[in-house]
Amino acid sequence: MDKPKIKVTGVEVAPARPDAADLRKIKHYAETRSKELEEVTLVFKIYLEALPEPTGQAYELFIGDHLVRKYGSFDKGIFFTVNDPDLAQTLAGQEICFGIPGQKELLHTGIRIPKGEIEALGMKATGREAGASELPIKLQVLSQ
Amino acid sequence: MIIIKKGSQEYFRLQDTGDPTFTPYHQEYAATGGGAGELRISRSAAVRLDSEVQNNTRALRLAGRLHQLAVLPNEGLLFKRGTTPLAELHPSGDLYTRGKLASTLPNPGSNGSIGWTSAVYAAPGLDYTGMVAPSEYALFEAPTPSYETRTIDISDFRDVLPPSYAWPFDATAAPINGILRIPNGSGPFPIALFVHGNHSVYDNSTNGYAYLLELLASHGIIAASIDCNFLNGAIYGENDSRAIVHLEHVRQFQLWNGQAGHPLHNKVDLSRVMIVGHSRGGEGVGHASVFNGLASVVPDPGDPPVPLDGSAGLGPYGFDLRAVVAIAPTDSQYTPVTGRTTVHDNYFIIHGSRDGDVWSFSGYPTYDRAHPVDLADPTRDANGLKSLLWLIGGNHNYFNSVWAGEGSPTIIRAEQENVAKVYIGAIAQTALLNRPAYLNMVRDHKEAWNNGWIPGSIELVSQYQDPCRLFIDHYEHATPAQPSPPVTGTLTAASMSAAEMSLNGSATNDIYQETNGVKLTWTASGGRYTVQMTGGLATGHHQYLVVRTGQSDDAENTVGVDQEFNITLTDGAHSHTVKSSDYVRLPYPAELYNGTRRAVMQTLRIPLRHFADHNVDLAAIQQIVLAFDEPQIGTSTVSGSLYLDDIQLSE
Repeated sequence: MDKPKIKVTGVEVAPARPDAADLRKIKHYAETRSKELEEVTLVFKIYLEALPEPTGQAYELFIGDHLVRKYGSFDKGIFFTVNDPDLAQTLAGQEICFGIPGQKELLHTGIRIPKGEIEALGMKATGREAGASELPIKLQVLSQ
Repeated sequence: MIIIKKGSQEYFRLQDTGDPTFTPYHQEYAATGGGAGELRISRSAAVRLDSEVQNNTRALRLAGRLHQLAVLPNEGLLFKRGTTPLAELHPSGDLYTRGKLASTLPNPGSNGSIGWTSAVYAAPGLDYTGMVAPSEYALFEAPTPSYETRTIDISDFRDVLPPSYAWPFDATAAPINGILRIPNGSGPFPIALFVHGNHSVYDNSTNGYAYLLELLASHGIIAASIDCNFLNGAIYGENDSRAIVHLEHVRQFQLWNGQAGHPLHNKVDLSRVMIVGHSRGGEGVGHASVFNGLASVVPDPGDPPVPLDGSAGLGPYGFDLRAVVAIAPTDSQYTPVTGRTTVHDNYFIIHGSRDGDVWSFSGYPTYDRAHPVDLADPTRDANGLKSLLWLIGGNHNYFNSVWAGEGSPTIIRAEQENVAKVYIGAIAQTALLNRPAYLNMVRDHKEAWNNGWIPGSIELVSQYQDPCRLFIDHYEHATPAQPSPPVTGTLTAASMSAAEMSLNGSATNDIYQETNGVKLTWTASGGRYTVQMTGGLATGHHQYLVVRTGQSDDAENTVGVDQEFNITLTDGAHSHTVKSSDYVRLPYPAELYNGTRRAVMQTLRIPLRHFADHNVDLAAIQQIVLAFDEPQIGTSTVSGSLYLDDIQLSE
């Protein structure tokens, strides 16, 4: 049984300014849930000892039981973004795990998404004090 | 004697005995009013036939369009002596005598006779200077005149391109870039669009399929390899984006085709489109097959729908995808919100057993999901065919000529590229150039061996499912030990075990499919697996009895040794038995690069006439008996274990 060869060295969650596609999603969530949502995108940065090779096969990323459907990479690791506050709350405090497609066994890293950080950052039902336009864009968050 | 000439060149001579002499016929003419490579003429545009006898030889002249455009009636020409048919000249240009193809089919992996030109197409204003590998992409900074394209916004699917590589654009302005081979001539030509998969951005992966583009262009197909490098990296779940980009490239050709003054104006036959993807691009073409039929798509659960009808810059699609080809594809790295992708079009997969990347052969489940039985309407024909080629010893990267080798291949790059050329060439000939004779190679890889297109030293396993098939048992229904409705009866095993089971093991099991089937195990001669059909089954218009089967890696089999068994059809009064080994090999599961053994089933297609010739009444088949009496081939050991699935009657 192969196991993912990947080592997490840290995790960080940072707010970013939503781009147009993010805003379409946030607006849609607000409409379908009939509530106002804050215009903020959370960037989940998972720092790795080494980036996976850019190959056809890929590691699946789980946060707890949740399969992260899409992730990308930055200089020091991989990242994914969340515009849905309900999902962000679900992920808070959950363990980061990796899997190999077609195999049931996961690699448990023991490292968890910082719960307090998400709560502190808040994806509030009302607007944040600092407006979304003052937040860094995602590329800036990823380069920090 | 009948002689067919074009001008002074003799094409075909039919002896009075019915034996033909055939001069290899080339059909790569641009037929005005028809598809490129297609030979057709309407009934009203009759070919004038003149004949005369000279020196005891009757010369037949087909005047008019045949001579300029190489066209023949859609219904072909039937040659008779008295009332006895001697030969048929198929509209494709292939000659059949006594029901068999008599003309020598050119190797589909060999270049054709049509010249071609190269072009680079790209979005305007690209400057890769600040990118990490600028020289690899500099060609896109200076596209061929008239081949400037546009950018598309894929940010609803992929919000951020990997920032580490400093692409000179973001996801809202992804460029339509590619390399192109254009056949000489007025067209219209069908198109084939290739896309690479995930790889280091320090290589421009686009260039790696030029050997296939040039093959297809030389046969009259516009062939392109598209740039998806900006989606590459340590990235996951982006294969919906790859699908969208792929379809937008097809649309680019549609735009050019309709653009007066463009070099491709009216030269693209959009009724014949083939998309080919490698690795993650191979998964992407499956998603493209699905997206192609949508007016909008929800990329991820809960997200707003993204219009694909042209109202927001993407689409509309609805292209006539004649073939969707996946080379060593991944599977389900992206899963549509409606569930795992089921390919809707004619679907083809090629995969190497020594793949060091997508080592699990994850395209096999994709293949299984394509064109499944409709349990609510099980006699309904499928929307298309599907075919699989398992290349023993092939790896992942050799399909792309610029990717360095990986895995543990047992064949060299040139051999693997040749297999790709022959297989994809045959698919293109069939799907795009209307040459159905090449479908035989897709149905049965022995055609490639027998014709010398692929050396016999290259081991292959293949599967084929025809769209017109009646399942005797697909094993997906709820009642075990019975055929699948509407067929009724029983399935029994005697002196052996028959365990109906899910074949969906994990990637590290020997079996890794997505269907149910049966595992047959025997330890001595006398084992029988019998399908008893109530009231007798009429085979109707079906021509083949088909099963797919393959060895497990259990101890009842021997490493490196083939299995065989006998198949008997009985109508109650007459029966006839054939050997599986007269049709196909059933080899021991190939070893993957990591040591796992993978059982890839082989389709066994037995012409029903082989039974009818022995007086078996095909209108009332009562029993199909699989008998396991034969020793493992080349040994005296009688034991074995086979997975088996999809007992069908088929075209």
